[in-house]
Amino acid sequence: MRSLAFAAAVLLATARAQAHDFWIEPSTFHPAPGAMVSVGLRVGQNFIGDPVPRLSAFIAAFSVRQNDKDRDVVGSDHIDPAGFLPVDGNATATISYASTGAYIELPPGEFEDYLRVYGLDDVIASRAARGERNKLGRERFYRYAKALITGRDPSAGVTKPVGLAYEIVPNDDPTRRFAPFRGHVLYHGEPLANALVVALLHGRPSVNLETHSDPQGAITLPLPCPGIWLIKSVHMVRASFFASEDWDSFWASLTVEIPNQNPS
Amino acid sequence: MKRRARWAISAFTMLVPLFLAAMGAFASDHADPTNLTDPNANITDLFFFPKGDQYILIFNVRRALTASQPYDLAPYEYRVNFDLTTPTTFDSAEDRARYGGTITTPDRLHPDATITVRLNNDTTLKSITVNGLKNTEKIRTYTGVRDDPFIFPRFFKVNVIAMVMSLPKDAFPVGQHDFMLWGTASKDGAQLDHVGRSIRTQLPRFGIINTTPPGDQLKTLMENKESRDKLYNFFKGNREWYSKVVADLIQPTFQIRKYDLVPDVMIYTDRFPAVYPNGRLLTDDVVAQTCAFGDCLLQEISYIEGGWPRATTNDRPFLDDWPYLAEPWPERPEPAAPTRSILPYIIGIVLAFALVSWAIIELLRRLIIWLWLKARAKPQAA
Repeated sequence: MRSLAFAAAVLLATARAQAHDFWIEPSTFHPAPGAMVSVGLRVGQNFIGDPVPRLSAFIAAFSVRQNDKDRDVVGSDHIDPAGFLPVDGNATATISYASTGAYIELPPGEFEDYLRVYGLDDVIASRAARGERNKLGRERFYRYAKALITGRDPSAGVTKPVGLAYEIVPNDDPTRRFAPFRGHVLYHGEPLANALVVALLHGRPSVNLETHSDPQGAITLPLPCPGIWLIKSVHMVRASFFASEDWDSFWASLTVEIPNQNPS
Repeated sequence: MKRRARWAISAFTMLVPLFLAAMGAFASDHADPTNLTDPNANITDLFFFPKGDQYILIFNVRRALTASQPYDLAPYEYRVNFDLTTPTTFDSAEDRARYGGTITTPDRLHPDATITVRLNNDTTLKSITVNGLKNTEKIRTYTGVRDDPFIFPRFFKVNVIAMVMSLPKDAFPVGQHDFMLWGTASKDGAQLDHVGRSIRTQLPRFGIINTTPPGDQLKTLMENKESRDKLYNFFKGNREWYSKVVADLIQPTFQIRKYDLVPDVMIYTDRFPAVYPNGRLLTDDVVAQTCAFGDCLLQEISYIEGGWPRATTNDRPFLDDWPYLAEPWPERPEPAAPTRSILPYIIGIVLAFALVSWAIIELLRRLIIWLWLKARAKPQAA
């Protein structure tokens, strides 16, 4: 009975969280070589999140890439932090997480509000064109989160996609110096144009930068200060004909600590 | 339904520990299989605390000792290792409460100094070799049988073989504030037992680091965490209640916990008062203190085997002066070892299983032949 109650609580939390951001929050962005880093998952708004315990059934992939090698981030179900990894500290490491899809229904008004907040105007227009504005928003959402762990040396690996369906990929290693964040937004490995990308600064919810990707999927965010940044974007497409939902949404996030000066 | 439930619980409570026993095949310290297979290699305690211009180091082996001399100590080598250079921080309240501090680069733990002791079979000192320390001529040593100082009912009224050393503070580098130390017991060059922070490798889930150097322990713990987490997640993720029962058995005893991913060394710093887990005093009630931050197995056993109220002091008073450990208990014969063997039961179960398997396969074989003959016979009859 207790297990059922717990499962229900998790499902409810998942449902409530559907229009919230999702990101990876490691115990430190600057671990010493050989240190153990615990990897927390967070869901919330304005870069203020609640812990998300690990739940294997909802995880499609959870891994770290360091020194061009991928390994799973291990962890125990129902426990926060969701994972643990030893870092060698030689070069910047990329933690990535992909969820299995979760279904949600929203009343028409709420659904349209949320689409507007996340810059999904093309979906609003599409619903209007299809005469669906008064229809329930039936959606399956997928989470794709990444975090960069600063190492002794920069890593060219962080500029390569890790293979998530929706992904923000930096042009160069942003953990090295304080500079505008430049990168690309990729959907299934291809540049995505006109995607709204938002950057939030940890501890200062009022600092909020927005930009749209250009036709090559490129973005530039002139970050005003160093700190821990959450860079995020949501993309939504029409679900396949046989799907139980009408829309599939893809939530990409990247958490990174931008240093004041070169960390090495 | 009740019968089925009882059967399932019994099966799982028997099978799961058996299945997982391999994970904890090497345990350590007081309560451990090393004691049963090689009792003289069995480390029981490590203490380290300041006393005036000295540091007192106490390293005990051979639990539950009541027998008289001679013992079989000559083949064994007992060593205490000091890491004096790997950085340690004290900012994390959690790490300080649990481990005495934070080791920032755990894979770089290494011995900067060692004290290696060999004993004669009568417990007198055969040799002591000190590397990496200064003023070693001022080191004072005691070896012999003393009362077991562990504040724990199972080990009341029994002795240990003690190695007590008084190390002058100037044996260490000038300005040495932080120490990490661990003890090992070896035979023929092979490490058999390890001790760091008290009640660490004594717990079943840590048996695997008993023969691993501290610098490699994190890797070993991670590997084991991965496999045990997968096992737990598998059982926990199934809908059947009995699968969840298995997961709930695995979790408290065998699963590597989120606060376990730390090498097993004792940390001592003179920046804070010496009290467990900042070093260890003889009077420290380590069972209660360890329970306070997440490991209560020994606390429970102390209630199960002890009286009320739970003992929080040793069963004999410690000495104020050298060699600090309490006087030994009188010698008496050790309890006779059991004579019954489990092997006939295991052989019987294996034979019964083989017999049942053979009978099922034979029945199936005969059934298939019978069906085939019957199928062949029908067209002929038509």
